[in-house]
Amino acid sequence: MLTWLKLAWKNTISNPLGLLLNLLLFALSVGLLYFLLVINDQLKQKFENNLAEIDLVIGAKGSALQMILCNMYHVDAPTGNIKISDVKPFLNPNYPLIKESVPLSLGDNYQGYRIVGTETSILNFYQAKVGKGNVWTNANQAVIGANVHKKLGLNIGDTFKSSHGFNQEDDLEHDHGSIQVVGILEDAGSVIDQLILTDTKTVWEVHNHQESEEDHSGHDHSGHDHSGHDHAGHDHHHKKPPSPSLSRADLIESEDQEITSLLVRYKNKKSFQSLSLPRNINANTNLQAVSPAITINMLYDRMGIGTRALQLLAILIAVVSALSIFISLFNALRARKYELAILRVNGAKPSGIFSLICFEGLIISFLGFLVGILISYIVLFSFADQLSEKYNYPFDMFMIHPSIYWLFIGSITIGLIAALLPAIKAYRINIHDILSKSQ
Amino acid sequence: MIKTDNLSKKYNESTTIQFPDMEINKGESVLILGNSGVGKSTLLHMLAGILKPSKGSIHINDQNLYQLSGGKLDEFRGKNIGVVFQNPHFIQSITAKENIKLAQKISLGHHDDKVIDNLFERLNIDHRKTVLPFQMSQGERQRLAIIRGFVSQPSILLADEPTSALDDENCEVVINLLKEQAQIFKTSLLIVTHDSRLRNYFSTTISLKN
Repeated sequence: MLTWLKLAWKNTISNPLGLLLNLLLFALSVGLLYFLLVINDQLKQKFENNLAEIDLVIGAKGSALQMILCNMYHVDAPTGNIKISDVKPFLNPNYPLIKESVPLSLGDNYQGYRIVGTETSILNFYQAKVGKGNVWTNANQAVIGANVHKKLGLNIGDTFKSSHGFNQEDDLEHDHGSIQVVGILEDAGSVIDQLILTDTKTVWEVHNHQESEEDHSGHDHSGHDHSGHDHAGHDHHHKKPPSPSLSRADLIESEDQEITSLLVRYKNKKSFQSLSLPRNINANTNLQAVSPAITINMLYDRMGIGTRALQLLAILIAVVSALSIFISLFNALRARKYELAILRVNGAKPSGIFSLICFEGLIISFLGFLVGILISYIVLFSFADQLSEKYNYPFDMFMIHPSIYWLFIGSITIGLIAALLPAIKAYRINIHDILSKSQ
Repeated sequence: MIKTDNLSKKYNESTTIQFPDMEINKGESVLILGNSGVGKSTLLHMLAGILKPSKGSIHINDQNLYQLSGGKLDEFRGKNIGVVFQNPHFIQSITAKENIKLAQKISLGHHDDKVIDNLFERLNIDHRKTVLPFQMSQGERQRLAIIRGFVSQPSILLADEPTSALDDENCEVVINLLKEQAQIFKTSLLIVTHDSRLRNYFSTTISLKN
């Protein structure tokens, strides 16, 4: 059998152009399929990890998908802000349908990593643990996600200034309120790894200070003396005593303040009242309530059409590739019929000739599989870089997806099927007929 | 030893070729002469075990050839019968020596570099061992075919028109090589041809007629 395998290898590489065409077609099909499977799986895994058993997101009216992407996956802009007074009932720990809720205040970033004004209970939502340091107890303190720590090198005790917006743009840096890192989270494998968590008050104070400063720059200076007091250079680092973080009661009392959204977990997901809650909120308030699971399923469905189309294309290429291998082997068989007849005269059994042709199909499909997987990983690697740069969202592109084994079996099967008919023809060659015609 | 008895091949209702009985001893060289269409190649293919006769029997080394079937016939052919064709075909993807090694491996189940190298030397194409068959001249390919015919040291070697395309000088070289190797390996040599020049080289000649 090894003799036939070696000969099949020599035969395969003796026609480099034909081999290249077959390899490229096969590799394209395998590579595309594997790429889609890995990307789909990674996205699905990320989406599912980040659902964090959140049943409802309440925010400002706008696009439901945008609200979910912004508040749960932190990849889009908020639909707007909502007043505490509007969500007061849902913040109340005694609200009958709600097991727990956590407010989010978004709008700032540090070096592209989003700063989330929230409560420490958010850590329970994402089952995140503080690996180093502690949770914040005062405003202007922050706990950073594992990736923020890795990528930015921020450590306990370091301070930084937030910037307005979600992109890394230095000219939008807030002058006021340095934030100090007091805790670093363990790797949670969810979006929380990418976030800088701080007290809601931190976000309010930074923005309130900015607003008051804007008011201050517009006011009448005639009444007081600014001599010896240069506003242009200094950064208004007022030495104030640390301001304790907000309790839930404080939050509820701050009726005029705003947050971006509220993440909610129901006491009973299946109760009629729970199921009706989003509809009631959407119909009767100026808020929007969206179920993440439903919205993400809709997103999957939309993405699914594109993915299925690409998968279909990959399968079509696989069929073309199988056809190409079949035609190559068939043509080679016609060109090499005298060689095969001579092998039979030398004593080769028909089963040996059958194996030879099958091995040739298998070698092409095996090489095509290897090249396809290699191409796929190269593309995945560059894709991972782009995703990381754009969203600060880590994708494990070097994982071996379980589908690789099925793809391998599929590839080998395709190679075998493509070689089967030529192999059967080779098995049945009539040595006498062929050699009579060669005289 | 080769012995044929009442051998015939029927092609259709009206065409049947009857062949004379033959008995060729070990190490004997025989020339079978005949014009085109008398069934020379048919006889050679029947003797090589690749075309079943319609009637009669062929015994090689006391084995009735066509009582063997399938894999056993292939195995017997590989071990006992060498064939040299007028147009020698080789595997184009492997070198001259690899072709011979492959033939020996298929015939005997193993290859012996010593025997192979010795044959290359004796047939004076030692320097062409590593080239691909299509890079060889017609004469070199003919010699390579002779090496392949003898490499498994068969008890009979059948040669089909081995000199038809050669000039007198090369004709003599090829026939002498065949006879020489047959003598060394004590192989029965049976040459089937329409080339009457070969009459001079053989003491035993069988003529095929319509």
